[in-house]
Order: sequence, then C-alpha cells, then structure tokens
Amino acid sequence: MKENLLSTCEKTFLLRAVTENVRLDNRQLNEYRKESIHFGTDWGSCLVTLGDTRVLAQVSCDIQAPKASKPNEGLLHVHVEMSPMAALHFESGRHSDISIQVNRLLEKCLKESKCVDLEALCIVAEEKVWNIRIDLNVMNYEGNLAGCCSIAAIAALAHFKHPDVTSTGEKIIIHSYAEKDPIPINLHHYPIIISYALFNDGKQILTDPIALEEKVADSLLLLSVNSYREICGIHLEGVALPSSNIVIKCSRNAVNIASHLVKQIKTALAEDIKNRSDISFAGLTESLNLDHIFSKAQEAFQIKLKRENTWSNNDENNTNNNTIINETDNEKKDENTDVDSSDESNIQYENELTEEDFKSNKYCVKSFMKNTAELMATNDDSIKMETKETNEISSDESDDIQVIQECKMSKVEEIELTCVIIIFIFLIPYYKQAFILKI
Amino acid sequence: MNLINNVIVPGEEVTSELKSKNDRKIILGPGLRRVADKVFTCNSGILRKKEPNTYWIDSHRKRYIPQRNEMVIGIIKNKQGDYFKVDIGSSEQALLSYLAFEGATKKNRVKLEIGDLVYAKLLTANRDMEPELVCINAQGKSSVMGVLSNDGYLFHCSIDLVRKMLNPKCPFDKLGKHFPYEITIGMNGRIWIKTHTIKTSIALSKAILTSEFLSFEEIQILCDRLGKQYYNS
Repeated sequence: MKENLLSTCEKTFLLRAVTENVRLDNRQLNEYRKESIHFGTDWGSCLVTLGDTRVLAQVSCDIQAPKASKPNEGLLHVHVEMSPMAALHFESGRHSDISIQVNRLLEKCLKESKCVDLEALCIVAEEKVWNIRIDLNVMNYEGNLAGCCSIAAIAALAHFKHPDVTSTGEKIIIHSYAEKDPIPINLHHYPIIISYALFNDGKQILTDPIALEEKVADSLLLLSVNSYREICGIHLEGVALPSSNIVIKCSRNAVNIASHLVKQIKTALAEDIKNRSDISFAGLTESLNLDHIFSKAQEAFQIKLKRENTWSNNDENNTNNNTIINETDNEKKDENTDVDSSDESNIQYENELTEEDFKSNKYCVKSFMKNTAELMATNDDSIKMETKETNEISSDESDDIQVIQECKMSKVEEIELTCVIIIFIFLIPYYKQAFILKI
Repeated sequence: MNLINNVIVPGEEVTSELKSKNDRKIILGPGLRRVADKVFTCNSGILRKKEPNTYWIDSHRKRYIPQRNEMVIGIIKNKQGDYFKVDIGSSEQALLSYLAFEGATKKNRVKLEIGDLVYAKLLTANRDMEPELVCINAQGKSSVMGVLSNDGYLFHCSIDLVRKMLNPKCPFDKLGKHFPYEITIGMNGRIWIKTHTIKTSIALSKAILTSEFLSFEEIQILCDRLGKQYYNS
C-alpha cells in the first residue's frame, strides 16, 4: 500500500504553526517525547516507546567464523523489520528505502562508533567468534524511528548475555545458562541517535519530530551522540544546511538529551535486575496497562505546565559567546562540560500522571488550551509563570474527580494568557467491561 | 443470554437476538451480516439496538469502510481523464467526476489541485467496485459539499469519535456560542476545522480528540471551560 499523500491543508497548517513556534502536540520546540524502556524475560529483549513510536528489540547470538580481515573480532548485525502494523505504507519482508536507511544509520551508530567490545566476543581466533544479531521490530511508527531504534538496540545490547564457553584445546563447550552464569556484552559507551527537523532555513529546529513533522520538514538532521558528549555520527537528509552553527546548536542540545536517555537506560537496567529477584517478575507484561484500554490516548494528552522556551534565545547566546565553534570537526567533537549546564534545565521530562492514577483503574484525560503566541518569540525575561492549582473538586461519586489547574503566564505589560488544564478522571464502565471480556 | 449491549466477537450468530415489533423488517447496521436466513457478526464490539428494529455493532476502528450516502472528506490524489482520484481512507481510492460539482460544465471546470480537500457524498459504495463521490445533491446544488479551503486544519480520529460528534446530543455544537469556528466532519475519520488562530485550532482539535472518552455531560464542561478561556484571552 502506498503512503498516504499529505494534503496541502495539513502541510500549510504545520508550517504556519511551526513559524509561530507552536507544535501540534503542544511540545516545546526542543522538547523530547517521553520515553519508556521495558525489558522482557529473555536476555536482550527490550521494548522502547517514544511517544507513539514503539520498537521491540531482541538480541540473539550464534557462533560463526570471523571475517578474514578481522580474525579476532566478533560480528555484529542489525536487522530492522518494518511491518505494515507500524504504518500502512511499510511492507514486511521487503527492504524499502526507509528500512535500509534506518538499518544503515544504526550500523553506523553501533558498529562504527565501536561501542561494542567485539574482541571480547572472540572464542578461537580465525575460527570461532560470537555473532551478535540485533532484531528490531517496529510496532508503531510516529516519527523519529532511528532514535527509538537506537535506544532499543543499545538497551537490548546492554541487557543481553551470551552463554559462557570453555575451550579444551580442540573442542569448545558452550555452557547453558543453568550450568554457568552467562556473560554480558562489554559496552564502551552508549551512542544514541537524536533527530531534528529543520524548518524555514534552520530558523526553527524541532527536536524529536513526529511523522507529520518529518514529512514536511526542509531537512532532517540525525546526530548520534553518547553520554560522554561525543558525536559518533551525523546524517543529514533533505536540503543543505544554511549554516554550520545549526549543527553545533543541535549537538549541544543532543548531548544533554543523550545523557538523560542513557541515564534512563541504566535505571531501567538496574530496575530489571532488581525485579528479576522477585518471583512475580512478568517481563514485558509490566509495560502493558491492563487496567484500562486507552493508555495510548492518555499519553497523547499529557501536558507540560512550563511554557518557557529558551532554546532559540539561550542557545544563540551560547553559540555567540563560545569560541569553541572553530572545533567544527564533524567526525568527533569534544566539548567542555561546563559549556551549558543551563540547557539541562530547559529539557523537561515531566510526567504529570502519577502511578496512582494509572493503577487506580481510572482513566484520565487532560486537555488544554493556551493562547500565548508571542511568548516564544519574545526575548523578555520578565515572563513569569505562576502555576495555580485553583481548585480540586471531588464530586459525589468517589470515582469522578475533577482537577482543574490553571496555569497563568503573566507578562509585565499585559496578561497575554493562559493555559487551562482540565483533568478529567473518570470511569467508562461499559468500555471497561467490553475490554475485560474481550481479553 | 441477552446479547444486546453486550460484547460480541466476529462470527457469533445473533439471529435469535434480533426481534422487531409488529413484524417490521429488521434493519442491520454496521458489523452485522446476513448469510442465508442467519445473521452473523463480522466485527468485535458491543451489540446495540435502537427501537423498534435497528441493530448494529459499536466498535473502535480507524479504518474506513465506505457506506452509501455517507459524507466524507477526501484528498485529491490524482487527475485522471474526467475523474479525480480521491483518497478517502478506504482500501480503494474513490472516483469524483469533474461534473459532480455545482454549476460545473465541460467548459467550466472546478479548479482542484493535487492535495486539496473535498467534502463529498458517497454515491455508490459496493464491495467490489471503486466508490464514487459527488459534490452535489439530487437537485444539483452543492448544499454543504465542495472544496475545503487550505487554511484550515485537518486531523484524523477514529470512526467512533466521528459518530459521537455527529450525535445530535453531542454538546460540541454549542461551543459556537463562545467562539467562532468552522467544522466539517467526514465519516471517514477526518475532521477539518478553521478558526482565527492556530492556537485555537490546536486547542479545539485536542478537545475533540479528548472527548472520545468523555460522556456528554463532561464534554459540556469541557466546552464551557474552552469558551470561558477564549473570552479571557
């Protein structure tokens, strides 16, 4: 099936919105979507969601003869599978342009950055080495596929353990997991692809674009960055960049996001190890929200309270003030860690929905409206946020709780207004019933 | 077991459930199919009944199956001879004749570019044929159909949300008292809105998408809040 044609209407609306620094999902321009990382019961199985993009990774291994040119190094292969389940225009079994591209990007990111210690995977030089295969199954496509795949791949690699091997001179014995503890793969660093969509000659840079933004953007810039603030690869799609400053600007933002993501992967790994000692460990089942059926919709309506965008202003200052710019080595670039700690505060990973909300069998929806068009364009530091929780009404039925939050932004001269957040928490009895019975 | 307002899976036989008063003909809605003298379900969802004799299945779906006489929003994909090829979200592309517009003649053709939106009615929708669209009613008037301007905002939603929006009890139309907006709802899960500012469009679209899981009373509250906010801004 062919990819759906974009209507002129959607295209022009998105461009108009982006010019006003507004995104369709109410994110800020430099805001990354919320990620979640879950591990399965098998070693090396990992489910990563990034907004609505969802990728399942599985690492497997077997023994093969090494390449003649690298007799003492293990092998690493990446396979990205895009089924029509992810998006209608994907075809399974056939390599489309996009799947080859994502495959190649991931190989660049994982193999050529030398993050995996391949020499440790050698069993007998020139004869037998471990062949590590990463299978990535795209389950839903909603933009930034390479980014989501790279998180899934690196998390799965970090989680994976291959069986232990003893060599008795002529023979080698592969021990089962029960016999001997399996060995984890050595990872030197965790490279992650962060993607940017560029609009209007690079005036607007959108972090982590959704599918529609990717389609309309002038160009896409994909940076593979690790937590040590090193760039492991750059990929540019679409029209040429108007200035090299954009790469620097993006890489500054990317290193912060990457270090955050790596931190998330590591906490998820630690959590998984903790969970495994528990008898009731359920693997990927934990990632499913069995209490309600509309979990995906909940994420779509999450709102961020803070509305201050400092990406354009702050970063511009940073680029102007810093003299490190002359290090424009595109291959590898080290940056002082003290450059912009302010950036870290700009990226917010807020999660307004508490665990209780999820678990208490209630479904919550948040919707909002804001009318602060000029806010992002202005340089005015006097923009102030006052977050007020005006009231919290509990209605007679204990199931229905309404929380109305009003978040006001006041400017010194005029009150431009405003963000209203309406949170509805309630039950839909018949849908729930429907779902339980279906299961 | 009474299956009305209960969960149904595809393939169930519901013949015994279907009764009508005064021996009137039973009307089968979406999700129900007659095979010989038996009625089977072909969707999973909830079996509904409207007195006296209408039955259908309420289900969550995103893919559109064309039905005759339904109003849809289509995207012009191609021009082919005397026809436009229109994408209406179904498995087949629909056909829209050059002449199926109000006042259109062989010489006086409508100006439509690829990517433009049309609001049209399905003239035919057979299982094995390409569906056909028209932008005029039987009197040759456009009524509400025709080309949608490109400065609106088109977004996609599920088919059941569309049905909910079109329910006369749905309080969304009262939002018009608070602030002006244009809305066109296609039965194929596409909604086109136009307001003065981009922010209002996005807020309205989010409100509509949110209302998928709200009851009508809650939608009323949501609309009141939106309206109040609009006055304050």
